[in-house]
Amino acid sequence: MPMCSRGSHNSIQRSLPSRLVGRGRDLCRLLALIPLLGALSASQGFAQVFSAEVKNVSENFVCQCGCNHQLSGCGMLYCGSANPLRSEIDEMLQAGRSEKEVVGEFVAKYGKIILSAPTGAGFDLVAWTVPVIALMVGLIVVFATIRSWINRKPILTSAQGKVAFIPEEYQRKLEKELKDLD
Amino acid sequence: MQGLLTDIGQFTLLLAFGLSCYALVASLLAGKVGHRRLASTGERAAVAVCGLVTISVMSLWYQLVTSNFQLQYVASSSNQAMPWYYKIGALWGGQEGSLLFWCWILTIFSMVTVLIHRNRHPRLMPYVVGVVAMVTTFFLLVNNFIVNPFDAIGVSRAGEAPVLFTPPDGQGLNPLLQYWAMVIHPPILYIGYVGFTIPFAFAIAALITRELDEDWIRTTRRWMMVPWLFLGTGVLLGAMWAYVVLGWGGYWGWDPVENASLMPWLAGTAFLHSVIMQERKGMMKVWNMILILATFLLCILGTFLTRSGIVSSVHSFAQSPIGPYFSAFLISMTAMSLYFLLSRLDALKSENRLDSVVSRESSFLFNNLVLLATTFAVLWGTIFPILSEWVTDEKRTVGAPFFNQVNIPIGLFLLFLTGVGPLLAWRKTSLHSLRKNFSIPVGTAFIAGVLFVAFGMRHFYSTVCLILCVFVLVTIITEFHRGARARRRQGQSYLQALWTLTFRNTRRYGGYIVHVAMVFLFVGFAGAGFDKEVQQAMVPGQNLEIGQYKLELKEIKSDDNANYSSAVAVMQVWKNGKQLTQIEPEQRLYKTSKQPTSEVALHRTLREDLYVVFAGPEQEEGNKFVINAYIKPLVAWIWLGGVIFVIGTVICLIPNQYERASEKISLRAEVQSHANV
Repeated sequence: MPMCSRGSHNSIQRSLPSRLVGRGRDLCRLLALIPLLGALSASQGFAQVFSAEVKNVSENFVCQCGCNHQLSGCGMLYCGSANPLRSEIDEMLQAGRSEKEVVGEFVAKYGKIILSAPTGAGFDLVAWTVPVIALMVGLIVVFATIRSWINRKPILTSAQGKVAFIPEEYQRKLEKELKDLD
Repeated sequence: MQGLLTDIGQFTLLLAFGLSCYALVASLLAGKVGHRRLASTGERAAVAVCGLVTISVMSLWYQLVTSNFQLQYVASSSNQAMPWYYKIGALWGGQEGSLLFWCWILTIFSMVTVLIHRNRHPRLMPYVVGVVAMVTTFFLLVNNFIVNPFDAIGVSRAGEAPVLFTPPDGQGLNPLLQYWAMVIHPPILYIGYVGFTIPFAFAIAALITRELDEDWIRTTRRWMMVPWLFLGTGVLLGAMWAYVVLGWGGYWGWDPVENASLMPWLAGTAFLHSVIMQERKGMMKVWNMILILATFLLCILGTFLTRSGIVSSVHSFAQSPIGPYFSAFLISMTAMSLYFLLSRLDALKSENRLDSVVSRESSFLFNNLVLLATTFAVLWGTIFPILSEWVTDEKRTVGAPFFNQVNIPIGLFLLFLTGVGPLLAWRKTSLHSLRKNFSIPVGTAFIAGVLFVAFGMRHFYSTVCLILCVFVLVTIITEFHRGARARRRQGQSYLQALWTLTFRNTRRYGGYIVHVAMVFLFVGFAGAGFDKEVQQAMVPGQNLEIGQYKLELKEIKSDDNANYSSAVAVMQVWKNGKQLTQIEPEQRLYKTSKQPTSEVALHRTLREDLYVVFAGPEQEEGNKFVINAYIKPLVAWIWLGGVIFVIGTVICLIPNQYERASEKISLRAEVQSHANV
């Protein structure tokens, strides 16, 4: 791709000398930017472009820069952890490794801390099962509570603190009024 | 002047600690022996503490604005090149300052509580002031003796006593925090966190005095709603900051700090629903008490987890010496809460009963279960790395895949309940009523689902989420329509009827508006299922295509100021062949910290955001620049939802005519009983 191609939407056709001047100006601007961009990337490295496949595989891992994001999502500029790890995945994929093999090699090399979520085996299984068990226990408790509240007899505490049953007639009236209110 | 004000700030902070200790002891003693004058001195001490901490905060602000780099805190969180508003914001940019700020908000809450309630709850107030003073004393202890923002920088030479040293310039505020939302996000979030202390104090006071009638719960509900509003708003502002500043294209990363703010908000949400049961039916008294206590304790737990360095977080409070103090405080607060709760269980027995499983009451129970299940799942995922390390001696990471897999189904069930709840009648819902109430929302949701699938939506969770959003929205519209139609019979216009309806029952209809906000948020979340991303190395003049957009890199230009240098990628955006706008994603290099940051360029519409990041020069070919472009559908709905959330909650906070009348009656009764005493 030529340096100064302006794309197909530029409707004004410029003469050759003016295009050359334009290219020269763009080049000068770029040269002027070199110190700044050099400073931006000096100690940190450069930006890299990775394939969608690398991105998919890197979702299995967590970036080690402390951002707590998946490797695929670390947005830190010139991240000292994300880009080398992504490059490593890229190399492995290009060497013909499958996603499963890449994951296995990463775990062997960096430990399970590199994985973005607990696995489904060993103590990791506890991470996945406890919330489900808690929800199930909660459901049982809620149903048991509802049941016990339904089985409770209707009571009314009178002004004098005595307990009295609500007469059937008043109950019907109350129900009707509550229904209207809703 | 700087030195004098530093001494004043230091001294007032110490004096505030002393007075707070007095407020704690005097108030609890006054509550125990019923000595009104002693209680009054405790209240005055609490107000004085607020004044003293205010002076201390003002002094630190002065040091930050005038760049007194002799102070360790000022030197580490500001520099001369920073604009004044970021210097103001630097108060909460680091550990010491943010704890002082936390303490300041707490003392303001304490003062406001004293001023509003000292005559209204004569029995409860000594304990309320005592408990708030207990929390204040802890924070002042930490601020005075462990992480003091007025500590000077000392240089120690071999064999000599340390001498003061003033660096020529400070390190500056973390560049990632130099964003407008970060100036207001922490204060709003802190108001939320700290505000939950007041309902906690009322709950403990009610337990101690056994004054567990309707009055304290009414007072507590409002005190709960204010911090809930602020915490929710703060969480959303934090999400907005993450989205715009961090440049990874997302708004929620399940970072421990994010989780720490979400947990008390969820517990508070559960309380705001179940309290309706207590007010209307006298039920769930124990449960509500647990929720109030848990909300506060979750705030402290979150603070402990994220400020002690026990879990790793992107937020900068990690390594610090305050962990053991916070864990001791958390344990003692939990023990105190449990003791009073368990010893007062007899006074918290509920009086009423349920008539049917299919009722509004049951829906509240399920709603609470789901909210608590989410809270637990978030807590579990946050602490699992610590547990795993203890048990297996190997640390695990619990990231977004875990939280999403566990919480998305729970969240969808919660959304479903948000639609179902209002359609169920109190006590019992007949089959006829079910058919009548559900037919329109279910029918509309079904048609919407068919259309979504017909138009090519294939992402399971997103599609289900959008169908449920339609269901809930139709439910709420139906509720408003029914109420307005009834009012129209009294001769009002439709809009007038809607207005009157909302402001005559602010809690109910304000609540529905908050539910609309939740629908908007879920619509925004559903959009994540349709994200697109393209990464390309480009030279000026080249194009990048993503979805219907074409981005032409026109030029790279540079800029420079005292704070940072920047490189800007000027890009022309075309959509479906039509010129749309020009965007300028930017990279900055902050001069003091030498930290590069990304300034995202956004083109926002209700349908989708075009999100472009200038990632910098490519590694291999130096003349190419890497551009990351994303299409983020429906994200704007999240921020709109945030605005609606604030409006709805504010409406809920406005007392309606029934509440005002009942408050007047209870106030008159209290004044009368106070006079009799």
